Amino acid sequence: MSSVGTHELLTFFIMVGVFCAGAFFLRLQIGISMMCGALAGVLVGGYLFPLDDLIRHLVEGMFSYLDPILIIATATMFMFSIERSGLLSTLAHWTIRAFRRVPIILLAAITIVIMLPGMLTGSSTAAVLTTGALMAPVLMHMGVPRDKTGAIIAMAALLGMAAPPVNIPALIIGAGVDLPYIGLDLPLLVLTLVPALLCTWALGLPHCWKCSTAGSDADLPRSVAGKYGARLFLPLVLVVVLLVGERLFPGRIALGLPLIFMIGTLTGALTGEKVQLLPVSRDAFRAALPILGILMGVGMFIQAMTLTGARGEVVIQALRLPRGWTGLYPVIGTSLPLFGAVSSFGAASVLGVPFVLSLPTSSSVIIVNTAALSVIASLGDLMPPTALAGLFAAQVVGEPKYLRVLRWCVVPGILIAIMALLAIQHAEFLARYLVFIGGS
Amino acid sequence: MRPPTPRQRATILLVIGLTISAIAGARFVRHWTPEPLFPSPHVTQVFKLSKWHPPLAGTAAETDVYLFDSGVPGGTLLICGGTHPNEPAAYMAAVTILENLRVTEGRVFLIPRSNKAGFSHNDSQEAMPQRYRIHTAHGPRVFRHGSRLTNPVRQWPDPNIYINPHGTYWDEFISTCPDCSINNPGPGGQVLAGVDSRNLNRAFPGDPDGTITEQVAHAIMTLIREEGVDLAIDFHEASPEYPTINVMVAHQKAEAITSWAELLLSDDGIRIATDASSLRLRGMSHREWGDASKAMSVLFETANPVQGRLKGKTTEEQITLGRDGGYTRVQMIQQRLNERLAERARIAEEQGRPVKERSRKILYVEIPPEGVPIEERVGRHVTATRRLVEAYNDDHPENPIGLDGLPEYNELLANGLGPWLHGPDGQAPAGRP
Repeated sequence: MSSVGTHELLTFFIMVGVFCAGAFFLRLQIGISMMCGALAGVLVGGYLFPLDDLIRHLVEGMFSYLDPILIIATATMFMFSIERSGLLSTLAHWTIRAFRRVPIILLAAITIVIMLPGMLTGSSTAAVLTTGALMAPVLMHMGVPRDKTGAIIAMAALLGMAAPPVNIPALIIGAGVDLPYIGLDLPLLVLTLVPALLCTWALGLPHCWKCSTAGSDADLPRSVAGKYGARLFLPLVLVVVLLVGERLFPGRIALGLPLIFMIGTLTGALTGEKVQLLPVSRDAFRAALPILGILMGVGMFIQAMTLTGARGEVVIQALRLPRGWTGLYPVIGTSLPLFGAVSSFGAASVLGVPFVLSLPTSSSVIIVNTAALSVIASLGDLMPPTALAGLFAAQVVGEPKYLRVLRWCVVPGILIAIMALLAIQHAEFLARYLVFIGGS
Repeated sequence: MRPPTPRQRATILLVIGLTISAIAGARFVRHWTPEPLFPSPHVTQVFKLSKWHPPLAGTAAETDVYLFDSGVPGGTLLICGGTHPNEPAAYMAAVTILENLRVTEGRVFLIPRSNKAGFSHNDSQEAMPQRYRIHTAHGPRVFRHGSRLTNPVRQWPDPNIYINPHGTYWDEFISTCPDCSINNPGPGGQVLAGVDSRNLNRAFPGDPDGTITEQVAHAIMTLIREEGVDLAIDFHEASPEYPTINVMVAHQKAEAITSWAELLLSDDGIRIATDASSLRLRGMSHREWGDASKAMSVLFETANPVQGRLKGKTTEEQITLGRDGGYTRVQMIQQRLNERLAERARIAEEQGRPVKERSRKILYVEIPPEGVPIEERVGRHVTATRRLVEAYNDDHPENPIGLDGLPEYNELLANGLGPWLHGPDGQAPAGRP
């Protein structure tokens, strides 16, 4: 290895070291620790002066997450609003009453419902904070422990984000290699729906068998539907209509997720139990602030990595191995989700594109490979310190330590990565049955 | 000393936050000011793009369109630079043409900053310098390095996914060119990541009522149609790991002249390939310009290491020298990897096992240790333009376009870009009045 790469690699290790020292020894907030890591990187890289340019770089890095930050802040407000309006408990009440005697179907239905917003918006956060929040009380009432409920929601939301019709990591990888977003639906559906159902059943069924016949209506979460009627559901209906409308009528309805969630929040304040908007927004921001800080810290960290050449060096190291289970595959299976700790979209762009070019690129095989890589990149939403899916799922179920939720996601996550790598290994065979593209 | 109260702590943090915001904000706002360009004396008129779409007047996307009219009947050429403002040689090639061109037959429309609203910011997390310098005989000229996308200050928020617009020309195109509909899904409906809503080269043929990016696309499309453009060229750059590199991507109407230009360029020592414009990748200039007008549309790509995912330390010199330690190392790694793969393949064949992988292409272009300097990349664009026009003239002798005053490829390689540019205060290039 030449001295050029050594310096960049050293910079990367120093950045990671400073981050770890800040987070684990000094007990600083994760976002602050990431910022310290970024500052260490620019110092080692010799970019301290001019100081105003250094500040520009750090702020510019943060701006990558402006949209996610607004989405998270407003989605948290929406979640708090419909929780206090009584909508969440009412929906949980109805769902349990309808399906409690057939838990296997109930769990499958819950999984698909949680996946839906992710499938339509390409965002696991949207899935966790909308239908995930709706289904959390249902699962917990069925007897699924809090941490496993969080894990079910996180996994379903994450796989919903990777499921068709909208898989943003696949779009990003496809854009990097001029691959039209055609023919991906079936491979993506197989790679996401099957593991999502298996994961929910594995985590939930052992607890639901007992409760299928037990419990009376009095134990159920409270329904306020009788008091407020159909208008209680208006916030949810509005959010779903606007989300779906954006997909069905592109260019005509383009409010963006933050505004959609704000509309949902305001509607929630008028349609059910009394909701005071000021306390709701204050509490929501208090809950979301650490996550927002992490995103800002991660933005600075990546900008510093790119500036110093550390990002390029990490990609180079990932590409230097031959294909197969003793070379490239384990690197894909680990580096894509690990980089996804920064952002699964970033992982798709920075690593996903070079990886897809390192694999066979014939027309239908590249589609299976892109689908599989996008699913692996999506796993980044489970990767600390950001772990967006896990963090929000913990918040939705009221679990203060998100690592308790994430530990139940480890085995499913590894199995999904292995399944996707197997799909890459047998892409040619799978393409025959799963890829249908007409014309040239 | 007593620890600060929460209120004091909050005040201190607020002051720090505001200071950082002010410093960063000043840097961002400075990026909005366009650098001056000094057109060749042979420019006959300067228009605003809003001439072809009035709602763009006064917006941040309003950009200058330069017309070189020879006064001699002939064909009409359009050249677009700065479609992606993070591709500096594509922009500098247009600037070089602007400051030197003389048209002897026909007309040339030139748009150096096609997506002007993309020049005022950088791509987040790409850590690019905001400016780079080109040394001229009269001192350094400073140019802005922009972003691939329209500034979000001008178009925000992005949708989750972007579906490229239909435009208003497709039916007419099909009625005049029934063969073109075979296998061609037509414009509109290309599903892209949400950020591509701000990517001008995914927004064609544009939408008069759409986003500001789509309106710019529509204005350029209208210019092409109303001015009767015969040949339209879009300059670009790409990272060395991108498969479409050092190529001319040609609409089917332009394939013959592009292949001819490829041969002419080989005489200049320029290795370049011709790629057919995909019928299924919609929204790009090489596809939509050709489909929605009579123009033959071609897109040029050169290799730019600073755009790549494997780049090393980001510096200003990386942009102008095209030199990157990361890519030089990748080439070595690729060579060693391919040696290992060949050895593995040989052993597998000897043992009668299937061969998994014989070789791998990490880079699609060679980046020599001395780099691919901006004069070489600009030289490729300028020379390819000249040769393509020559090929067009051979094919359309009744409607010729005459270009003069442009630098030769070898002159650019030998002397750099500086001698062909005006000085920082508009001083004429050396040897020119």
